[in-house]
Amino acid sequence: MFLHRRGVSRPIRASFLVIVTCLLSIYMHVKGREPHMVDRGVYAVTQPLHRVVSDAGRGLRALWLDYLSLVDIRAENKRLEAALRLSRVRGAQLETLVAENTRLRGLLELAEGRKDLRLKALRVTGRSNSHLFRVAALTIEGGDELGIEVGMPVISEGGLVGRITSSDDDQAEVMLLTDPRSAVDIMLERSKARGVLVGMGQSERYSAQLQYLDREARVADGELVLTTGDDERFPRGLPVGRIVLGQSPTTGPFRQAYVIPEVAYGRLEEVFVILGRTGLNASGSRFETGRRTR
Amino acid sequence: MIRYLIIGLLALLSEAFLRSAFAADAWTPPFLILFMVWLGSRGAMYQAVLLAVILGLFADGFAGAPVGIYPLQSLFVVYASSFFTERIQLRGMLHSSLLGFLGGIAALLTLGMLGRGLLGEAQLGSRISDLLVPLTVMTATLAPPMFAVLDRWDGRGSRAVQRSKL
Repeated sequence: MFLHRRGVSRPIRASFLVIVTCLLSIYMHVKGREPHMVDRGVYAVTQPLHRVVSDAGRGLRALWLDYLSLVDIRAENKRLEAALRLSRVRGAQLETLVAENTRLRGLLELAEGRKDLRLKALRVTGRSNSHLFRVAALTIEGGDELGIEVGMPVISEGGLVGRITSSDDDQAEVMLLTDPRSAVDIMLERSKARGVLVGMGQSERYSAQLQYLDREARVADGELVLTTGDDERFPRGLPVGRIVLGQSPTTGPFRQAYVIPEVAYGRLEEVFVILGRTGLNASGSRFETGRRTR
Repeated sequence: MIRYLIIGLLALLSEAFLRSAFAADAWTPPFLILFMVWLGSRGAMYQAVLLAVILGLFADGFAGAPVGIYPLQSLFVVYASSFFTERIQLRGMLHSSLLGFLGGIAALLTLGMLGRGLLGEAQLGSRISDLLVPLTVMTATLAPPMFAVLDRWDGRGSRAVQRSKL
């Protein structure tokens, strides 16, 4: 028993003193509702040491949390990379769908604006390119089975594309306006000047020569070129392209000019083949009694 | 005495460091209480009382508590440890673990009594039930290894003193 050891009275006396002092100190603290002189003295002595230790502890904690954060960030990074890849694929799919939607909307608007024509929408399945990667001819899905015949005009959102030159059971070939075998009777939108558009067959650009343009016609550069329908191959009023005026020869009755097609042949995905006429006018509001080209 | 004071301070600083490092308040290893239990079990009571007061003051300063709370707690733990040491008839780890457990209970009792008796609705008193399980588990678990380390350290120190005396 420790109470029976030598000098046992000293610790007990000291303990008693400590207990009384401590209780008094606590009582003073509670009564004064704030740290008293002894409190402040103890805090002043111990706080610097405590601050050092606490800062070290917090530093370690921050280090640990940073490390954990890095581990989490790495895992999250992998997840995000996978999500990003998926998102990119979906984004590309969406872009394709949006582009297709835009094209089809354009085609629909075209069809809505030309109710006088019987149109058949077909997908472009192939392109014949020149050695400078210019489209020389198109192949479209659908042929005889769908009523596609040689000579039928082909249009797209931008305007006249060309015409069918051959047709099989399930596909047909389209000759472009720029083909040297192509000739279209045209007129200019504002000046009403007329001419014949003949393809130039250039391998480096899409263009056609405008022949028989009256020298005296007041033609503006960039004026829209439309079909006249007089050749009975193409319906009237189809946009063809924009005129680019060349240098006029000093002699002769005709002016030199070229036409840049409105249709972007390289980006064509769907086209309309004009199967014939519906008998309605362009807005579809009434029947036409005029002539029919097909 | 100085050596024990340094060990006690190290225990207190370690506890403060771990408390701020891991922010696991209730589950922070109560090294000061365990050191007091160990001191009480050694039987040198005068030394133990002095160390309890000094280290308790440091603990008050660290915690920002009213001065006197931790000295009283340490003192109570020292006496409780001393009381139980000669009454527990167990050996080895079990003995240390039980002493640690009782030391934890004693520490909580002191805080509870002070909390209710002097501080009114004290912040300390309201936390007693929350602290009971973590503190007793920690003291009972950590007592055997910590006592072993302290015993080893104390024995080496004593032998060094004996050698120097010889």
